Amino acid sequence: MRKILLGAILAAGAAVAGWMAVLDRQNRLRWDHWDVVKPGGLYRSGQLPGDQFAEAVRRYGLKTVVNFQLPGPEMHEERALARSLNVGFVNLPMPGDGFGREEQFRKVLEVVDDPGRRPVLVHCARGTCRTGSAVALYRFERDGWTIDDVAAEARRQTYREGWIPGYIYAMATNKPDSDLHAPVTIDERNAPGELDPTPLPEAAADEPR
Amino acid sequence: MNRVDEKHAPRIDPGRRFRADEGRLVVKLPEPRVWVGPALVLLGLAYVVVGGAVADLAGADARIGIAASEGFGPLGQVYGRWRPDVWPLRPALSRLLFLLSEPGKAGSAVVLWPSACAGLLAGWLVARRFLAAGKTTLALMLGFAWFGSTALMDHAGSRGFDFVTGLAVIAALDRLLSRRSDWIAGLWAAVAFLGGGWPPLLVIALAVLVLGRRDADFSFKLIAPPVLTAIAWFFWTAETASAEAAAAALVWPLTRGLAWSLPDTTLGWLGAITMPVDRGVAWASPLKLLVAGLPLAPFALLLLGRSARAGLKDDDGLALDWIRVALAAMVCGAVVPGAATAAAVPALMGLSVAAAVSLEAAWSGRLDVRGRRAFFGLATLLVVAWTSLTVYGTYLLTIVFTYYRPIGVVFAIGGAVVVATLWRAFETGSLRRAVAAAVVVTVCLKLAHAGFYVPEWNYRYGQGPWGRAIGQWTLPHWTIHTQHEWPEDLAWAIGRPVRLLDSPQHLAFPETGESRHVLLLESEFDNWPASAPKLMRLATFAPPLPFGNRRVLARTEGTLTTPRGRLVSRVPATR
Repeated sequence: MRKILLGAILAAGAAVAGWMAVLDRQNRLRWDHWDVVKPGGLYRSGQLPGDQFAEAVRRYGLKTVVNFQLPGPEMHEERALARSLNVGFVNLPMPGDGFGREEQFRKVLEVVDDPGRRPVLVHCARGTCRTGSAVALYRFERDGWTIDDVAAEARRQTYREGWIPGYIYAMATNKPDSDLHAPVTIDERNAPGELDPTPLPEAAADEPR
Repeated sequence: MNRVDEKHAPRIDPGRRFRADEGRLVVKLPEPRVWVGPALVLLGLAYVVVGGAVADLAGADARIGIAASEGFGPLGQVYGRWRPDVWPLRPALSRLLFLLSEPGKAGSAVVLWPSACAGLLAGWLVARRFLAAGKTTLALMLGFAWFGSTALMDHAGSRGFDFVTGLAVIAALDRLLSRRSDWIAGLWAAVAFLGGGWPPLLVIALAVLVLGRRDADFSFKLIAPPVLTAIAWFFWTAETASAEAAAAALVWPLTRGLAWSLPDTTLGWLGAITMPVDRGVAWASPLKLLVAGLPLAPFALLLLGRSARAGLKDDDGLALDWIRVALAAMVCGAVVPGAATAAAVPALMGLSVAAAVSLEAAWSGRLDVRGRRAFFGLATLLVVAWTSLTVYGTYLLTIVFTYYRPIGVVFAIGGAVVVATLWRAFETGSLRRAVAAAVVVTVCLKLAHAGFYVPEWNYRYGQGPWGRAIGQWTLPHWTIHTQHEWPEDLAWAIGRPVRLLDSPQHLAFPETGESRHVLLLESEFDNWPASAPKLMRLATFAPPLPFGNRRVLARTEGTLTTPRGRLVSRVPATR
């Protein structure tokens, strides 16, 4: 009896696990890489099936969706669905590695900054690289996060390569002024006849630079 | 071999070398007295120290961190001003670690390590007494109940527990319970005063009254050290700050007030029992302690049965004394304003001792039929609750947040072990296996706490990313001025000295020609008065949650002192 019961439990467990694996492959078990970046402002995900997208719109009151996918059936389907749900649709096609152009990511900020278009959902196919890049620029420009914290957030979204935070950081304008680290560049040719070397920082202290 | 021996000799099939029942491997452990002590040491280290200092600071802990980075004094300083609720012991310990850590890089560890270590020492201190009395199982169970409790895993002041002061109180009580009212007990009481003022002394005094033993009475040796310390502290405070500051610190706990209202919503009830022990309604204090003592604390309820109570009178009634003292502390924390924090740790220790007594009774088979049923019932309740959590948690960790998948897999295996152990306990009617199932739950809880709860809390609710974002704009020694008090957790996360301005015009003083940084709400920046020093906007920071306000970091014109020399503002100030 005990063996039968245990066997039944194990078999049921295996069946449930297998069924869940199949559902997971179809992104039916969860919203792919869904997360809240800023409650009521910005959300992120992978490509959601139509019913999940409609549920996200209903649950979070999404007003705009930013899609980074290249034009194709999924993009067109979502565009039509967004129109039927009265949700704004922005398509910024870029390669899957997340190395989009700066103006594309700036467009995301423009959308997120517009109170009439928030809350915004940004997504690509898996929600890691392209979405991660857009969120990274939002973190740098609007939240002022450090590059370490942005990289940590990217890792949380299972992005493991480590290039995107640095790539996006180069675009950011909201970062500590280089004055902070006193990057005094001394470049002295010391050619014969040149008698006016650049003063050292201590000597230049009282002179405006 | 005679005829009788032949009759009783086992029949061995010459074709088989072993029978199934002969194949049992018997490992002879050394005497428990030999290995339980080291096991307790390892247990404490594994539960408390692993992942013990990675949480972002919040509430009282953040205040301690800020005070540790300010000048040392008889009271802690926050934003450069005396705080009547920050006593010198914890800032002193944190300051020691602060000085040892890398300049500008002091993290949460400077506050959390002393707290973790104090919790560890408190557990060892009490378990050692039971070990000395030969109650090795009880000592081990106390280790699991104390080190495995959620309070010890968090050991956070934000939950209303102060384990550093608690250690001093427990050490004084331990001395009173196991020895007598002597100088050592008095010295620990003096340390407790420096940790939390008079409330810890009140808890010790109540314990003396409850014990009512001649050798643990109010002796000169017990009273003199804390009284002399209090007098010295008063004069120190009067000299360093003012007599009013000392009076404010002494009166502060009484201003906390007590609420006895009943919530009128389900969420209100839930909040009442999960709030920090020093906040919320007073009647919920025992329930809050029960929550803090989870997962093993509910087993203390078994002491309502006679058979579990039978073990209380062994070992000179030490366990019974701890329970009496804990009950007194619990009542004290509930009815005396401001005493909740001081009472929480000794009360939790008593609760853990009570749970350990029940677990020991179950382990040694002393429970009667009703006790066994009650124990199985509680263990089943615990395991069912944990299994539900495990099923959802495994789904969350392995499928939703795939970043945590390795933790999720171990979590699932742990859950399966818990269920299998309890199953086997039911099959064999073995209380020992039920105890083992409960103990495995504490291990799984520790895993979930350190591997998932703390990093998730830091990411979603901690002020770390926001504070570091602001802090990166200034060097470690540059002060940031504000116009009003900021949340301490944000101020701590910024990692720079924060000073309060009485008015915007005060930013000009003292006149040193140095540029000064100001962190303002956006509306404050927009309405910055013309008579105040002109500001230049450096950066704007959006709040982590939608209901917060944007902050503006600005600075005045002037020189900036850096390790590489003085720099002059390159851009003229525009406002």
